[in-house]
Amino acid sequence: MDAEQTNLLQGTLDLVILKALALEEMHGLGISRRIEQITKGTFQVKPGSLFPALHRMEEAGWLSSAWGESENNRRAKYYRLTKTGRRQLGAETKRWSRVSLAIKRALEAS
Amino acid sequence: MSDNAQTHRWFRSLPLRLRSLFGRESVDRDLDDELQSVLDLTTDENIAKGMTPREARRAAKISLGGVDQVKEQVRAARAGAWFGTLMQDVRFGLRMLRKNPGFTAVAVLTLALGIGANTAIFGVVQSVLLRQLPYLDPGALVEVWNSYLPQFPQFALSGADFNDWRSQAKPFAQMAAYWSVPLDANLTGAGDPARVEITYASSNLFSTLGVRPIVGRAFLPVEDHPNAPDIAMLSFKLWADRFGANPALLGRTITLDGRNYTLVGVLPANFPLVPWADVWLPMGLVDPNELNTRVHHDFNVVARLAPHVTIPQAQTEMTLLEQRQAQAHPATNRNFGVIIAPMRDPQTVKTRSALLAIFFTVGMLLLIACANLINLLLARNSTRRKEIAIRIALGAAPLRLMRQLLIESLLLSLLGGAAGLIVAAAALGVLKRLAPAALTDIQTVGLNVWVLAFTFAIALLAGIISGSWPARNSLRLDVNTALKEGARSSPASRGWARDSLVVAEISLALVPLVGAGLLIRTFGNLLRVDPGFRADHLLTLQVTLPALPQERLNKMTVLELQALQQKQAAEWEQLADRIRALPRVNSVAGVDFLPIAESEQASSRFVIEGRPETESTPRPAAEMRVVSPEYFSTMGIPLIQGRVLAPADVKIPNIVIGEKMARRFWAAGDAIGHRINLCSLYSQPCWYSILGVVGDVHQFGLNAPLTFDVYFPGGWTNTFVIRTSVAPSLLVPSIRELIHKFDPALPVSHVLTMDQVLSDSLSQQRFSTLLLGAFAALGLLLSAVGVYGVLSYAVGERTNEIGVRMALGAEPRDVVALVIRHGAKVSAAGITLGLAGALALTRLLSNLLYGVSATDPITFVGVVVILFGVALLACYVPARRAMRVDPMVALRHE
Repeated sequence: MDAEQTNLLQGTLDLVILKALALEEMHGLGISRRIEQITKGTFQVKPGSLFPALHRMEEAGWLSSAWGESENNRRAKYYRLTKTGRRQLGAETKRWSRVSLAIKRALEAS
Repeated sequence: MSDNAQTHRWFRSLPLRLRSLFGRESVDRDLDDELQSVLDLTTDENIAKGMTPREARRAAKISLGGVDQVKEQVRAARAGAWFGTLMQDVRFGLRMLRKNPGFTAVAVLTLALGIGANTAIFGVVQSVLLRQLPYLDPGALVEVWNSYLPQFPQFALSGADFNDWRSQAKPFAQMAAYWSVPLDANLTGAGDPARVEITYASSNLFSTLGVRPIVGRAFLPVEDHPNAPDIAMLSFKLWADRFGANPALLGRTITLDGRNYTLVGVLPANFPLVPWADVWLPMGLVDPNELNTRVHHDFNVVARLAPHVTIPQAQTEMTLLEQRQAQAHPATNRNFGVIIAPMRDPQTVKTRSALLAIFFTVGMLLLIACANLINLLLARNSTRRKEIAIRIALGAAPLRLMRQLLIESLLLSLLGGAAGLIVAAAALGVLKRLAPAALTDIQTVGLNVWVLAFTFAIALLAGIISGSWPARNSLRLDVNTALKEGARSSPASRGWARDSLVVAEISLALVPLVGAGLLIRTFGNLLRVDPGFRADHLLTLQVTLPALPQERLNKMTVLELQALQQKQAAEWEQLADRIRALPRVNSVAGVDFLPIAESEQASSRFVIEGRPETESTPRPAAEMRVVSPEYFSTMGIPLIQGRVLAPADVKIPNIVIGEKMARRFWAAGDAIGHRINLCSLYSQPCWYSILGVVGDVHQFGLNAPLTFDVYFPGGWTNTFVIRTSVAPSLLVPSIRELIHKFDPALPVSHVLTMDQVLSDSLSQQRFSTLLLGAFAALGLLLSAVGVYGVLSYAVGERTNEIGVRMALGAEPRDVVALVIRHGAKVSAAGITLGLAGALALTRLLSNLLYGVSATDPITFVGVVVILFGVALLACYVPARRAMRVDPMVALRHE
């Protein structure tokens, strides 16, 4: 818990959520754990940010959701990427690479 | 998963999604469940980490944060995202409309015509037909009438019958009466002298209706009886026009024909019961002879049903009362009936069915416009198949696509609605100018909130109706084939859908056309009706003598009355002689009630000398007209038998009767010399000898049945009829001047040519015929556009096939036949369907028709010929285009 808390940059939350869901469908808590895991604990997504984002993305047609059973037999709502979401992940990834490359160059310039 | 299956799944989940859009509750419940499950999962995790269940739960709650806060944020995010994509669709839709200006213009124009017509007519219907009568609980108010079949289906009650029933009629909580005929009087003592119309009211009239005077008081029960004080109430209009709406005038007096009345109250502005009444007097001031008579029927009666009493119950009870009345007073009341009818607005009695027919017609018009829009959208969406297929292949959610297509059609329909408002405003301007004078409410029609709401609602509806089918249709495509096809073509199997639309349009256009055809035939019939006189070169005007006070008349003996009549007749002759002396005046005559224009009945039951009566046969009634001797020659009413009246007949009880009466009662043609008693209800008979028989005249309008007419020679007859040798209106100034010189106190009014009188009497029919005709023609035009559109599209689609045919040797003639055959088949189907609808619906028009049946074969055949002709004409243009197809170009087209 003492890992360095980094605020998610505006717009990156969608990207990491999409990325987290790229392999398989997951419920909300699973997504949050997966993000912690793939960012090695740098990002901790709080429910207050995660759930609004999930619902917004569902409304935009990137995600779809369905109720299912968790590994320990709890009822949980599972999210998965739609085709549009997958396309969105591709587009966002490209955009992010461009931006981060640009920032890196900016910082390296002296 | 195939795209078709995906689409299918999306459609199945559509209700769910719509619920989440609109049903906040179910979204909330789902979200509650989700957060609860997150809490449970976190707790499980914590327990696995080694916490006790209690600690685990607590830690989970902390990590989740405030549940309500999270929920609120989720809600905001959802709404934001929904709105955001909506705006995206709207922007995209607008861009698409801008990219196809031709398509957009045609679609918006079509809708604007449909919506505009509906808006204008709805405005009229809303303010004229849907207007609630401004009375307390108007549903419980009824009108009470007498009937005397077969001649008089509905007429006013007598004073004595009203007074009997007022105390006896149990089905009514209250029963009130007012004088049914305008009585004009000279108002003096309030600015310039003016002619005003007087009526009398029973004291409970206003409380029965639940109307209170806006100033002062209504009449009191004691004022219903003879010796009532001379008091008056004013209509709002007279109060505002002549007294500057000054509330301080109570207690002041006004002078009517020389008699003073104290003002006690003013009626509200919105009181449509007796539209012509300026001054209201208490019933007690009616001449006692009139108040207690069973002979004269002068009182219109309204009543409020007692609680829990229905109209049929009231009808049953009142019929019993009328039968008792007939036993008690057989001379006057035998064979009478009573009618209890729901209270109606006097303005809309005549226009109701016509307005409803017109409203129905514009409804059809809107449906035709929608069908056209569907056609346009189907055609356009099929050229976008490739675009849609690509978007689906790239993963666009079909629901989003459908929503976007729907938004495009909604944008079109809202634009159409806005343009429709302009059309409606223009149409209302025309309507107001054309409307008959009796329809005063139409002048106040405007685009109010209700009308705007109606327009918005039908625009939305039109957008959804026309958008959803094409949108669904274009999503039901197989992406693989759609991508492989050329951009333009679409499977031929869809052609039947557009064909069936044309069938629908043509059948929708046919029904109003038949209605309009029937009304036009009716109007033609009315114009062909012989009024019974020659209407050309006739000027009519009213010159009224000041009325003598009733009590002076009452005191006169019969001889004195006759002397007075003769004196007035001599005065009348003097004035008539002067007018006769004017150049270009051929002859001058007088009558008390001008034919055609009159709605007032002056009828009397009569007995024929030497013919025994049976109890079961109603006594016949004759319409009585007082005329000057030259009346028949001046009007051009032909003499059929005997002779017409001569000046000397004023002193002898001689009469002339109409042909219908002569044929009915003297079938052998021997009416001359027989005598009839026209005072059959009085103790003293008055026998009149028949001098001659003249042609029948339509006393009450061209479409009213003929009456049994009796003409007397008389005293002063108010209406002058003047036959001129030039256009009658040219003589108006000199005649006015002459009358003014003769006696400056004589008011001249109602100056009209007889042609105008005839034309005015048809203004209602002219208005409805014109309106229905115009809208039916618009329907025809729009459906022709529909036929044209579909065939043009079909030709475009079959360019290839036509090219092949021509390459294989088909003549241009064959190609034209191919297209026309297609159009003819579709039109014939539409006409067949429409005929069935018209046969079922035109029956509703039957009370508007005259001299033509609702299933008139000539109208039906005529409409079919016109519609079929127009449809074929609409086919011809695309057919010619097909003929000019160049096989080489067509084959390269793919």
